[in-house]
Amino acid sequence: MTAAATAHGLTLGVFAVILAVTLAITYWAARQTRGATGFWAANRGISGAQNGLAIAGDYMSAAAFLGTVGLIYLFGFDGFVTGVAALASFVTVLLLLAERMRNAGKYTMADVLAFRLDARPARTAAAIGTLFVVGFYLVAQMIAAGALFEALAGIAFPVAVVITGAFMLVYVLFGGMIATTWVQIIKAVLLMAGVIVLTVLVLHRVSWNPLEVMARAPAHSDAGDAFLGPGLFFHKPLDTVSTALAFVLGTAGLPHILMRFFTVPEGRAARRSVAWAVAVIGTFYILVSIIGFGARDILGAAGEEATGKGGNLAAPLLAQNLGGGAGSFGGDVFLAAISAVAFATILAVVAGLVMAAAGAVAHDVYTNVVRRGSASEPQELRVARVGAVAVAAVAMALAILAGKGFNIQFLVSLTFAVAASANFPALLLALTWRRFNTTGALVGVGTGLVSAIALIILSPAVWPGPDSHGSPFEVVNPAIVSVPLGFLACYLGTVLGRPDAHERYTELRVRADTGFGAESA
Amino acid sequence: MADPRRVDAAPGIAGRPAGMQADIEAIAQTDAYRQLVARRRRFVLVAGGLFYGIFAAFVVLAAWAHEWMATRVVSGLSVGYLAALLVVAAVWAVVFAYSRASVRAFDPLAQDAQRSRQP
Repeated sequence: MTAAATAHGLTLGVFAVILAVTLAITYWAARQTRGATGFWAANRGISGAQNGLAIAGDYMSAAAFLGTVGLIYLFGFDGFVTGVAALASFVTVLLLLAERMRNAGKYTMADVLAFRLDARPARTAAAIGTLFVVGFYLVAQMIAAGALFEALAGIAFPVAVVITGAFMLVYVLFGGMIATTWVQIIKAVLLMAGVIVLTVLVLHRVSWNPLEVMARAPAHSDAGDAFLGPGLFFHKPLDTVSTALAFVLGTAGLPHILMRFFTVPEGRAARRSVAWAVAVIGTFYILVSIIGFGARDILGAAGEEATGKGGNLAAPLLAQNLGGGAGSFGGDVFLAAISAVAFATILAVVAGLVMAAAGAVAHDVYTNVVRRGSASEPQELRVARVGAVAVAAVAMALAILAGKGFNIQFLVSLTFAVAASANFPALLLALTWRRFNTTGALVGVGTGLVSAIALIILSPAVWPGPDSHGSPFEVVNPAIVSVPLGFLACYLGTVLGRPDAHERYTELRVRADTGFGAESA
Repeated sequence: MADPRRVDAAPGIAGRPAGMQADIEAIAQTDAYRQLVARRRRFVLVAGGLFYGIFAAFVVLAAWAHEWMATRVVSGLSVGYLAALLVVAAVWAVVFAYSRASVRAFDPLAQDAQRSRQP
């Protein structure tokens, strides 16, 4: 057996153990799930601390772990900016969204818009926004999963995508939100454990002084001292501003994150879950930055080629190096462990994404738009399962068609740009602006969605060719234009449109602010 | 009166229990509710404004002040990295402050508003 085959076998072995545990959880969760509240909202029985860990597990994607380590390894400081922006987003989530959504909603983000606006059109718009955001992100995660699986376990890309999709569907179809929640909690614990071990090993080499890691890193980079400052990844100032804007507003508009707030018993627990989530996610990003700079010190410039495009393999290769290097038993074990943690990370995120997509299809479009609220719970759940399978099938097909070389950074940018430009303005204004109306929501979501997609097509990532020069829109992320357009469209639509016939802003605010009449288990 | 905690239909759909609208109006009229809204709005504007001011400054510096952000505070610690750590610390501080204000002021006011409504 070659050294690579041994490493692949070990990786598959560790991954098989994780999969077996998640299947056992799903079996247990299936027995706990009763009715629609069980399926969508885990019987509203998740505690604040548990939900905080699950939010962290839902948020910390492969891009957040492998992508951030890779970007810091390749470009230094700039790799840290998106993480800080995403963390900053949770301040908005806490101050304006978490408790209010739990108090006024039922299962999905669209519930909050439908509460005070003309229910069917507002819900349709929110469901479309949800499906676009979740769809782009799901395809990005599936491609990442397939590429990683192939590189680290030696399984062909299309097979790896299908395996990922199959497990994601098993969690959602049989275990619903309870299984999804516990898969996310276990993943968060595994990922934090992996990140802590890597950090300890990096710090061990520099007599436990994190500043020593950053003092050494620039010597291994052509950029020299500039490695510890910005400007190496985002060359133009507007690239930094636009990307930061997409992450700081987009994270607060991610439907699969917002959906998690419906799983706790009441508003106070929603608040506590944000506190736990920012404690975990903030610590995660600080440790990841130490790992990223450590990778530069340890792998050096010579390691750049092996880490692949975007440096995605920097974290697993660093683990291998710290364990004793390629071919050594310790190196193989460490590589296997970190690779398996990365797979678990992706599985937990995609399960959350499919839950959100199924919610938009079944609870929003089918039950409340098509059936005008007359569908029974078993009918809604049947549609949810069919919807989950359909969404997963489309995402798997797109991921396989796009192939492992597809630029997923572009899909991630698009996800956050659409969430920030289409979902976030409408959600924020629905909860805070008395005059906001249905026309404003429809025009706002439509404008945010179309402008974000159109601008990214005209941007260097797509037009006139991959990463080419001379594109009509020179900024890497569309948010700096599409977010103001989204807000402007919400405003103009509201001012020019007709006020809603049934004004329910007061009722929304009283319920959102006090928890009066909130959905119970 | 119907139990206000039971809302059978999805929000935004007709079929709320009778009497709920009256309860909502009554809560909205209480002093406790007005105080809750005013105090929470003040907190959100001050803490949120302060935090996002700090965050915006961080982004502007990261976008335009490349050289200054790369200078060292001490060996191994650049101005940029220190600024990023300060933003993380500021997130934690706002979350801590809001949680404390909620337990001390907002939660009791929300309960008062529901208790003291005139039926």
